[in-house]
Amino acid sequence: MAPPAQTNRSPSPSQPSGKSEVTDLKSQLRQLAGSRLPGVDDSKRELFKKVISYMTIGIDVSSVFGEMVMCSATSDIVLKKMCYLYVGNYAKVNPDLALLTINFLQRDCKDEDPMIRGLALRSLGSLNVANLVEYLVGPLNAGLKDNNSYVRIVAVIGVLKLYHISVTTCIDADFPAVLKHLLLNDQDTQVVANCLLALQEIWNGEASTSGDAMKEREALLSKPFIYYLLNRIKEFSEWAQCLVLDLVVKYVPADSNEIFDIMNLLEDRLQHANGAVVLATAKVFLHLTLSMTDVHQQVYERIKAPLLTLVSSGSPEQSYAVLSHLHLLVMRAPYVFSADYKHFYCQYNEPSYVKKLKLEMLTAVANESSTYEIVTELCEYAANVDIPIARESIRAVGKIALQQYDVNAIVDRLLQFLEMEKDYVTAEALVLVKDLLRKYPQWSHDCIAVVGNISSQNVQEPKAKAALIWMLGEYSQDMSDAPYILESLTENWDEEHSAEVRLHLLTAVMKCFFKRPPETQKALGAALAAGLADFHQDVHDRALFYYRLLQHNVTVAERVVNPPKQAVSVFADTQSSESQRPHF
Amino acid sequence: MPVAASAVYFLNLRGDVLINRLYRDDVGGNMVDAFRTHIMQTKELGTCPVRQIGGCSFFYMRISNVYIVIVVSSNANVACAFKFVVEAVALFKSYFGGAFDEDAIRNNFVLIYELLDEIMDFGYPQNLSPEILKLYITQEGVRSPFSSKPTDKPVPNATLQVTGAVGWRREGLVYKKNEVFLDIVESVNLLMSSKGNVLRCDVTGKVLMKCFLSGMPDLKLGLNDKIGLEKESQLKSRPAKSGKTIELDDVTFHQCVNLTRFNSEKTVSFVPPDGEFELMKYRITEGVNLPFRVLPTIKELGRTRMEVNVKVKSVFGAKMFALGVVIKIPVPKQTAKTSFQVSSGRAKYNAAIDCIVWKIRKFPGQTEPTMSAEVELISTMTEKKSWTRPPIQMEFQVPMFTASGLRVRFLKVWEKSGYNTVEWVRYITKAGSYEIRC
Repeated sequence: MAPPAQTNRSPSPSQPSGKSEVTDLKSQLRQLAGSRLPGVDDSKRELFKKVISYMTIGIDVSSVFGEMVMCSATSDIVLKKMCYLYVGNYAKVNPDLALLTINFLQRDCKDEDPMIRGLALRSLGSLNVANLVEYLVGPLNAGLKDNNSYVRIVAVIGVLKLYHISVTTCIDADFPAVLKHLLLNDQDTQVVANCLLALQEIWNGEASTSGDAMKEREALLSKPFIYYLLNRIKEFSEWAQCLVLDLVVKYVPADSNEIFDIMNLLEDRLQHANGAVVLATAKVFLHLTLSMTDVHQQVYERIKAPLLTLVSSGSPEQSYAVLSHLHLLVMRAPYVFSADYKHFYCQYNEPSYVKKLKLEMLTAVANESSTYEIVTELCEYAANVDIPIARESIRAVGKIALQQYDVNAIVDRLLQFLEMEKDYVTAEALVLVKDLLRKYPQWSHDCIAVVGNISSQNVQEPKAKAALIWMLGEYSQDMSDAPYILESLTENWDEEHSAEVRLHLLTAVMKCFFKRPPETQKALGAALAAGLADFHQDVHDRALFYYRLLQHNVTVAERVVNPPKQAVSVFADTQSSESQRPHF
Repeated sequence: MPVAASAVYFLNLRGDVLINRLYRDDVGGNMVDAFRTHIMQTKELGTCPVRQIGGCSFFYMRISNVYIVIVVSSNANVACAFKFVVEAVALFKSYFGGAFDEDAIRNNFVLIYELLDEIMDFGYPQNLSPEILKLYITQEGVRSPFSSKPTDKPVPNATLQVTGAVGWRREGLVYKKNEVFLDIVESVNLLMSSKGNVLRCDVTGKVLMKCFLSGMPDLKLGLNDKIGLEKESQLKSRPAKSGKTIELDDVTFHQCVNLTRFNSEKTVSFVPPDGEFELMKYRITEGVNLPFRVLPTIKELGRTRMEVNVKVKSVFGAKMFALGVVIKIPVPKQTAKTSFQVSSGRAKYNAAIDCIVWKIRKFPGQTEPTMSAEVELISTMTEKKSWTRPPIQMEFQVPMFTASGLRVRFLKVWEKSGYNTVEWVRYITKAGSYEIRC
């Protein structure tokens, strides 16, 4: 319930210190306790409110326990609620005092007013004290058989609470059987729903130790029971529907006719206003049709529209929840969603977690016809103020480029990025150009022309620098300034913090040397010397290795460092579809 | 496992606990400290609404200056949790009648505790409908419907409504004048590129109803959607009347609508709750009439000056007019001075949001007002970085106009005592996210 008594945070200066106020309260409550004056209920209410507010802030008011109990002898339901809230909070700490309230609670459980009966039962259940459980069993039994469904609802949850306090008491009193009876026979849907969730928890807990419980759990998944629930599903509240649908997911139907029956029955749930219900129904459909591939495709089509609507309605957090599910589906079957890519366009002021998901989905659904538009859209985001999103969108453009065969326009765009003169844009774009060149060496001329114009001072990030250096090394015959740039970089060796960059620099200088020896000789010498003196193990080893190779035989060295390369056809990290399965 | 929330916390912006409710024992009371240190006081806040810390998952949402956090210890249903929070906040708002913020919580915490008791038990959501809860939990204190005191108004069958089949409507309602008000509220979302072509546009609409009807009436609503008309002409075997028909991409209904009948006969039939409620929500992507066209031209002259010319054309009928039109044109942060010329309405520079705000109170149809502004920027010594242009955003409301073309064809009310009803229908189109890139 409310914060446990242990959290005695030191109160801030603007709040009461507690001690004196608490003693005040004590005396005031004691005065009112026995009083029969007409206005006493209102003043009691004010005092109780104070007690509860102190409790919420964290001040320890357990000392007024006795007085609270005395004042709770009232027929006013608000006072009772506050009193039971207080008792429930401190009962664990003061179990003996809690015993005092048991009398009142038991009496209230037999009150004529069903609201009071329900309230008392709920409070009894929240007392959470092990040696008071014997007092719980009797009222619970009575509650489960009560005429009024409100009381039954509370009693069912009370049984579950009892199970969590003391497993043996619950099982010995044979509550699961009573719950099962209610589950199958009660008219009221909320009672049935609560029984379902209580029994699920109890049997899940017992299944490891008791064979009966396991059987019962399987019985929940039996055909007549599932059908019973499905037939009544419309009568359940929306939360209960989520529960039932979760159970149906675990059910294994006997044949495809059954599958179709179930799907027809649940079809209209997809039009429920509650997003959680729609998602749960979609899950059921997808699970049922896993083995039937063509129906599975139709299911995708059917659930597309409701899910896309849900994405744009509701708060960003709700969109995020729906988008995460959609993301999974899009990754599994991108071609189904390829016509709907417009829905994944980001709006300017969406939070970044939503934009990120949408970017990933856009890259997944891009195909031949929509590539151009999607890339145009992504380029707009690159100009966005939000730096991480701008980076992600540039990376997304690169990913699309690597997936498609026809990349003319994309290459143009990427090169435009390089001219945008924004540091992070340039950095990301360089990394992508490097990857592109590995896959499409035929574009090297255009790319190199632009890359050569970039001054290396502007590029500070390690990955980007490494990319630039790789390109300098690989295409040094085309870039006239390559050796000189490399030379200046080598002169700054000591200021270069990133080991990755230094490694690349070594290799690049070697490659450049093989292609243009006279110009690079000095740089090579300097690089090797610096490399050998470097404290980083990898850099040192590689420099040593190169040095020995060169000493041994220059042509062999060339073959080792700079072999003719094939274009990369597929990058390994784009092939991760198998990793999606466990999430599904 | 469905939502079995272990705890719900209401925190203010500093991280102090305003209210909390521990439903289950598997989450320690110090979880809120973990939340505070790891999420609120770091840059992680706002990056993702679902976080895991030390085996527990936190789902949080910010509503004005309050954070609502749900803590769960197992893999729970996130969509359910967020929906629960949204509905709970709506419930609280309907009690406090206004904003839901830190002060409202402090003033009403007893009420909130009572409500938290009723709407969630042991971590499972129970019943969140305001109509039912208001029957027995009120602002002045809990009114028990069964109390024997003669002063209390007897409300029969309150618990029946809590648990009965037609949970959304009480029996025995009587009104002198039986009236139904229908409000069709549409939100147009537009994303237009800088070259003037529409990148994306759709309309999300809501049909809101206010029913003041006696007894338990059955209502039937007919719209001019394509499929509904086709079905109707099939059933009645006569050709459908010609006129604009629209295709609804996706429709969701209030729980009172009989969905099976919608699926088979495409009619919307229902027993309405009393008072105000949202009957259905729909989305349309084809055939959208955009009420406004915006033609911006932004010219940057050198480093210190910019010329902005914006022309807005209203495309709806000349007899109609839009209200509350606000056009926000973004300008760079280094703006020093602005001067405007507007052909109608008023323009002002708002430095807090870096925009020129052009307001036109009444915007008649088929007109094209323009605004031209000259913006002087503070000259900076550093190299000028090119300014990323955020899109122009528009807000507006156009009464008696639907961007989708949706029209109510009929609304039939049938009740066994057979009374007459008066029906009122109103349409309004609002701007949702109306963005024009420039």
